[in-house]
Amino acid sequence: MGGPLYKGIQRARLRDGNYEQIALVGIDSSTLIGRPHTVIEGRIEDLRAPDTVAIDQLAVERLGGSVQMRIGTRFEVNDHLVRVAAIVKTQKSFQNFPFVYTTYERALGITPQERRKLSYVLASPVNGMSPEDLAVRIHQQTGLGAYTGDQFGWKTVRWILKNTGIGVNFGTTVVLGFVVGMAIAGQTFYLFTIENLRQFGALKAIGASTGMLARMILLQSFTVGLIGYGVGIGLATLFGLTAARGGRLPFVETWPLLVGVGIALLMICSLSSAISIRKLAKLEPAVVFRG
Amino acid sequence: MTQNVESLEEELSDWLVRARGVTKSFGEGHTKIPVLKGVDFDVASGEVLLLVGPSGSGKTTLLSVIAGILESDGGDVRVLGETIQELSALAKTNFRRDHLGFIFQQYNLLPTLTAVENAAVPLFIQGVSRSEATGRAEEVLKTMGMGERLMTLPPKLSGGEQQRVAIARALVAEPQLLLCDEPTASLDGETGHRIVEQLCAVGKHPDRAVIIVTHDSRIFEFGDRIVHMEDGRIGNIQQVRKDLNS
Repeated sequence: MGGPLYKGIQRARLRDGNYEQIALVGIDSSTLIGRPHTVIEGRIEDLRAPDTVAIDQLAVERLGGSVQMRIGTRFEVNDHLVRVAAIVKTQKSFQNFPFVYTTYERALGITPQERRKLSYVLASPVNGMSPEDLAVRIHQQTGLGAYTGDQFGWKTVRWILKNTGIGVNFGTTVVLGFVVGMAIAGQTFYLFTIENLRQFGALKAIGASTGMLARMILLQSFTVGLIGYGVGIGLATLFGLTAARGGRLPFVETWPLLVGVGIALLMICSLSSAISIRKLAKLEPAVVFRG
Repeated sequence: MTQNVESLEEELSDWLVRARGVTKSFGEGHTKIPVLKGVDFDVASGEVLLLVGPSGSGKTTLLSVIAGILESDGGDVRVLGETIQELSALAKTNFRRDHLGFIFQQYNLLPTLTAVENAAVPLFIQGVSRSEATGRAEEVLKTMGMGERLMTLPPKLSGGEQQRVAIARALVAEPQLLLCDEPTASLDGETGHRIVEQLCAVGKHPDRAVIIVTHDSRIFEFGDRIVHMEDGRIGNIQQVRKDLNS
């Protein structure tokens, strides 16, 4: 089973005369492949009726203006009057535009003339065949790029990182955060070590090995780091959820992100502790006998 | 009574510390300062030995060499049958952990640990379980009259109380050799007396000994022997307790 898919950014005109950018998605009218999973109100099959669209929750908030968007509400997309046939639930896109779904043929009619309007062809494997096998076979037989959902997702991420400023801007921020975090944490631990040099010297004299002192420093570092991790992730999540509730920002917190941040934090803790551990390794316990 | 080292050596058979010809210098080249200039030194079992002398005479350096904290440049130091300079750095650390106790002039208690936790530190280092370590530390502190202050943090303890915690820390693992650096320097006369009495009680144990580096003439009466150091050498040795060579 398969079908064409159009996806592009268009302008919707609101009742108050303002314009709002939307992500227009045209799906195959016979199979409706590519349709959203969850329909909140109405029926997605009603897209087969003339001039109909399905809108998502963000579109309900943004396109209505003073009017409550509901089934039957009309608005314009590129001077084409359309009518809401269904309200669907979607994941917020990276670009944070409201989604408007219609049929592929109607999307071609609504959008300005271009030589090629087919964005993608969606296909689902027959029973017994994996998406990976299907992608390989399509590529072998047509020479076109064919991807599974996951592969396409990562391809999109890579494209955005490579072709937009996001990679550089966010990368710089992350690197700066890493360096500043390490410098501050390292300096704090080093000052702590210097301030307590006599106590560390006493521990060494009493019989604590350098390895034991290193484990103490690392334990302190990781404890502080984990508390900071909890507080940081908690605040970031709270901020993200608050922002997402207003519909202004898309917010997704995936487990790889949390794990990645955790690993980065452990690296910061380890590296910042290293300076203190080096100092302790060189510390002469005789320091405790100097009055 | 003054005696030389050789005569004492003949009289005393059970030595815990024996140092011969120990030398130690600090610095390099023309700034090199010899601090120990061939020290011969012994400490017997059951002895409280006071190491006295002016500042810069090498008392603390000798104490550090005996403890394996400083490496001697020459000579031979045997402590509890081990030749200290032949031990690796880790072996020295483990030797101190298992056999030596320390009392420092400035206490060096960990400010964020309670009195009982501070006293239990050597046992923590030895890997003793927390409950057993704190239990043993509690017992030692109670014998020192610190039963009411077990959970107090060091900054809230008086100087005498902090030193008693430091002594409890030194004694909790029952070390054979106790090394004390000016233990009464920061204490008033009465507290100093009480603390030295407690140290002497440890030193009287037949398998143990106590070396006290001090300037404090008020505590001279407590030592079995008083070893005078001058300019990096052992000066005279004053025998106070007669039964040591009986």
